[in-house]
Amino acid sequence: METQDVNLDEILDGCRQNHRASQQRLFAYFYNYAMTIARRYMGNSETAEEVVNDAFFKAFTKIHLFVGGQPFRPWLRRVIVNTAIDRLRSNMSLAPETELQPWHDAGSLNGIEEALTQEQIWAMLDRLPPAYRAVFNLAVVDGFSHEEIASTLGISVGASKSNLSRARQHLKTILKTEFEFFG
Amino acid sequence: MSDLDDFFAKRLEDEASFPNRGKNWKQMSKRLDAFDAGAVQGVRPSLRWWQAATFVAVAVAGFLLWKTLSIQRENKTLRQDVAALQTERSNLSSQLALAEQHTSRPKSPVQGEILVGNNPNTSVAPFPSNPKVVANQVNVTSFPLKVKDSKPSQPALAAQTEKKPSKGVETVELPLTETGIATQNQDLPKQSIPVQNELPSIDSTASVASDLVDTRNSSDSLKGNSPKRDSLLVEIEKLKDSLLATNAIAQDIKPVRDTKSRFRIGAQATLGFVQPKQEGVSAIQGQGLSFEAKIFKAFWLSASVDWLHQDVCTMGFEQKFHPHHDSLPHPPGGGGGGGGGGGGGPQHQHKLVLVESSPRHQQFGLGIRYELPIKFWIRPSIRLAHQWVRMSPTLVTYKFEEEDPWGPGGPGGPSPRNEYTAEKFEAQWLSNQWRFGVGLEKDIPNWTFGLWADYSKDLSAANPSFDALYLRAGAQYRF
Repeated sequence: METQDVNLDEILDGCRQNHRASQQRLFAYFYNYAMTIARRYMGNSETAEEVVNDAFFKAFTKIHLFVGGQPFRPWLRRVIVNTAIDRLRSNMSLAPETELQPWHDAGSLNGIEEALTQEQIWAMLDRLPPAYRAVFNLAVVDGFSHEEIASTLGISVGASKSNLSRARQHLKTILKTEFEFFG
Repeated sequence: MSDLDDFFAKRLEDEASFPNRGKNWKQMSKRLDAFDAGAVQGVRPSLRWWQAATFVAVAVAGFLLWKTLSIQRENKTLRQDVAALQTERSNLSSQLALAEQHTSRPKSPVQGEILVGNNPNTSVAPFPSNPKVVANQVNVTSFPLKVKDSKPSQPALAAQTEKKPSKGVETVELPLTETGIATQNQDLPKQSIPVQNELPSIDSTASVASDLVDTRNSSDSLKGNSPKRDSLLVEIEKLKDSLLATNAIAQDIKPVRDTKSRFRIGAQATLGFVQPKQEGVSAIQGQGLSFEAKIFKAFWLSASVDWLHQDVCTMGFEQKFHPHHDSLPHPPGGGGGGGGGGGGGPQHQHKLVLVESSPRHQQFGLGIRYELPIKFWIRPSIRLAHQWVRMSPTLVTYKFEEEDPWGPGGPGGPSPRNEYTAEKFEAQWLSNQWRFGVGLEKDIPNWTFGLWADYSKDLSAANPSFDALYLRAGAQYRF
């Protein structure tokens, strides 16, 4: 159970009773966490805020589906990811744009962590096509398997693998051309 | 996973700081308000109360149905038993009447009769040799039955029995022997026949009847034998007594309903209203169990427990709805409590504008109920009970509104903001609450249905809770 400076169980208990104070505290406590997830999926902060609002609205109105005694953060993360995916699916096609290509290792990334800010990393991710970005986020950051990605996005497993491969190629290209890594 | 994946997975998980949290919360709050104001109530946990109530109602209905069917089966069995007993009584009555006809009818010798000795009143009537013929005669003969008296008492029975021997035994008829030999009974003693004090069983009565018929076979031995005749008379009296007993038994056997139940157990649904009525306070809803035991005549000792809940949303702090709260709530940031506070400069002041909670409590009642002696199809009662109340742990939410720091007419500062705080209170017991109630009850076999109105008043000196009027409807099983 999460033990922070706030009593999360008490907040969740209040949310179950639809108390605004508890909802406000939960929103404030997890806002940055939710925005961080939504931001990397949506490509810009404005759309990410919309996704976060939608996700919290779902969480508040369906809080009774959350089983007490389990960690709340993964449950909220799944709600945010699903909301983001729904938004992406409603706006664009997630079908693969190219056929499957073999993945080649990106090589050494020595010094990259210190060289890049988070804003630059987001900027790199934002330059990916939405379909690639979604698969990359699901597979690399959120740890989904290709079967789960295929089920979540409504695409085939092959398309998931293809999009992930393409996303990596794009990122490697960006790093090479703009930041002169893998030189 | 490659270094590239590790790099992005690690950096993209870093939690950044994002702006517009307050603005987004306002949008979210408005959205939630609209949602609450809408018709979407399916996600509220209050549904569980109706689910529980529905389950209880279905369970009670099923039990009532099962009980009704059981009673019907029992009634059917009892009716069959009564019919069998009545048939047996009818047969015995007929046999007895036949025997009486032969023993008490003064007659002169007629055709087919043979004089016995010199006494013209002593004769022997023709008697069929075959017992089946006797049975046929019984069935087609109608006799007035003394045993039709509804409920003869034992002394009356004894008196009736004693009268018979006083008439003597001069006209006692004896079965004719097959050989037609007349028997003279000059030496019959005029003695009384002992009264049978104990009622014979039905089986023994039937055997006596058959014995009476079979006495024909032993008539030879009766010639000049007075002890045998006495024995026969005694058997006849036994037959009469057993018939009376059968009649009494048959009338006693009926599907009697219990009217002497001393205990009751049941369930009830409760709807309560705060008195006096207050805006923002919902009705009190709940359900409960009750148990009663009769202690003296129309007085019953009553115990009950009710699980109740309500929603409270008041514009200010009402102590009586939050008896566990001994002080006013504090506004966020330590500003003026309940609109007070303040100091030098443009400090923010907060005003308490809304208090929300969903208190749940359990009422444990113990009291006396008195059934008014009014004969009607429904029975009025009054009751008085003391109740202990356990307030469950509850979360109380306070909404504060930030007032304009520059005051009225000042320069346009930030628009007022709403701030929320919440407090959680642990369970608390309240006592010295009394309730007086009146009710109407309707009895059906084994069950009592009732409607009650109870007024609950808190007489405690410290932190008194609210008064309320409760309406209760329930069913109780009597045993």
